[in-house]
Amino acid sequence: MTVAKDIHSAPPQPGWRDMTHVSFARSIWLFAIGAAIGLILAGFALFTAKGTSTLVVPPEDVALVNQQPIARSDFYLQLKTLYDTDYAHATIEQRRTVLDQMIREELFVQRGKELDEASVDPDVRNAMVAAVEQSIAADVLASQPSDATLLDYYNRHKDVYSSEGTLVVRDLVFPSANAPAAEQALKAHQNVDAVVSQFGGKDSGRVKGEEFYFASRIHLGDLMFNAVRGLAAGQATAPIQAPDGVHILYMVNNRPPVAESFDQARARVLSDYQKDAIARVQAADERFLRKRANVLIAGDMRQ
Amino acid sequence: MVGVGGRDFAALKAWIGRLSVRTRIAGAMVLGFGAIVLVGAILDAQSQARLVSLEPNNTPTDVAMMRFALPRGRGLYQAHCASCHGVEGRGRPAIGAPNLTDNDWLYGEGQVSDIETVVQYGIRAPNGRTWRLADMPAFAHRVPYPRETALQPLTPGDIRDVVQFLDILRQQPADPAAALRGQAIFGNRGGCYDCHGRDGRGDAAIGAPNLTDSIWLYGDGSDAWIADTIANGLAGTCPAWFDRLSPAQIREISLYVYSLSHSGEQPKQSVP
Repeated sequence: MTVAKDIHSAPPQPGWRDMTHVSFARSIWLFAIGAAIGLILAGFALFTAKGTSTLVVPPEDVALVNQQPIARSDFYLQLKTLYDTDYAHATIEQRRTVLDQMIREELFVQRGKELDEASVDPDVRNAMVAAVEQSIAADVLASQPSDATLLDYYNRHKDVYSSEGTLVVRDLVFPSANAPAAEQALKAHQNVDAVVSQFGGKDSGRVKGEEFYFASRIHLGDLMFNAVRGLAAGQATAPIQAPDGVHILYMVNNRPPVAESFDQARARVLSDYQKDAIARVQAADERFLRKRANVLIAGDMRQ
Repeated sequence: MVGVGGRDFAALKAWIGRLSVRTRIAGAMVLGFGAIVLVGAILDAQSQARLVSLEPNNTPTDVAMMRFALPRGRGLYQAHCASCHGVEGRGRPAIGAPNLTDNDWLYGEGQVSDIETVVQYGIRAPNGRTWRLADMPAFAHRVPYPRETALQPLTPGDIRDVVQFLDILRQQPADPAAALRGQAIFGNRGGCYDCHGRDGRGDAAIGAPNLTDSIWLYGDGSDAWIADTIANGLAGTCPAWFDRLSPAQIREISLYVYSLSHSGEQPKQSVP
């Protein structure tokens, strides 16, 4: 009986641990476990808005707020700004305060985006426009032009790079009747104070001592400045009629603007070159944005 | 589901056995090289992670970390900074790019964190975190300082007087009467004291240079250069790299720049 039973019984089934054989039970269990893990992850993501979030804060950051990093360097900077201390010397309380503030700021910024604050708040709109303009400008500043490029720019704008001229001029006011005689006396290089005294003139007091050209232009006005700027020392203008009398301008000393060499002007050349380049790149960016945008304009605005 | 059992290994062994010796050696080399690259990449990533998580001002005391960061920082410096500051970091006075080797710092105190802030956000760079608290006004212009329109232009004589006062500050021969007038302008209507301090020693918090030493950011320190600076103003820039380089690269450059002025010196450790 025993022998017969052994002959007719089924061969022993391999255990589920035996990886050389297919195990139906193992397959079902692994499938079920995988499905359960998937459901848990999906539920967690759905109810916590974490998306495909990572649970590890990258080493260069101090926190992730909805996956938005708060950089360690910014944290140190904020610590320095608020408490004038570095991380090693900051108290736990100071570190916590700064981190809390930065997390709060990030949360509010994110909320601001959700609420689309930029569509209603002009300050936010201005800040965003400025930020985009700045990011365009950053590309220009990050690349240093070669000396040859700067020299070429300098040669094309040479007239801009000159010193501000200086002059010492006397603005003399004479009675109308005496002005022609005073003019002749001044042009004959008579002593200025003697001429003023002789012809009943006076100093207007509008210009005092040596001045830059721009200052003289302000003090004298365009008409008189243009009349006097080309004179050499010792020369005088023709009489100029003005509401307060007849003016004669006598040039004591004139140092016209002098062109600056490339080496003298290099720093300003670089600055101007970068400004021009930024303006060009920003204009190109704007053209690109307009090109790809779908802008619809009302009928009455299309004129 | 089919597992990998002894039979599979035997089959793999048999397949390898069928390959020529040369092929086996080549395969082993490829696998070995791949393993080395992989291990190298992992170690590199670990070192970079450690580098950026360290407190910046303490990093110079970490010899291993400095050995890791400096060669990389040098390469990055050459690629991104040398065009202005020079290959050796000695600066270019013609464009106001400061010497980075003299331990005289225009912004901050020269700690790694200060340098890192400049590398990250730049000077007068187009971003909200850049260092842009003040510019040098152009006193020979109608509006010397558009950010503070109350500041009035100076006359050529005023500028000469201020230069004389600065000559006195740096113990150079000067006309005492002119210097006295210059001092009054410096400390009053010129507004110079506001940034440079009444003693002319500057303010690293806003990038106002010390006017009493022999280090000049622009030019050669001659009276003509100083007069030109007062007349035409200055506002040097340094690009920001926060959106172009990784945090680890920024730290590497900063440590390299720090090392330029601290070679052979035991760095100050800020941990109490």
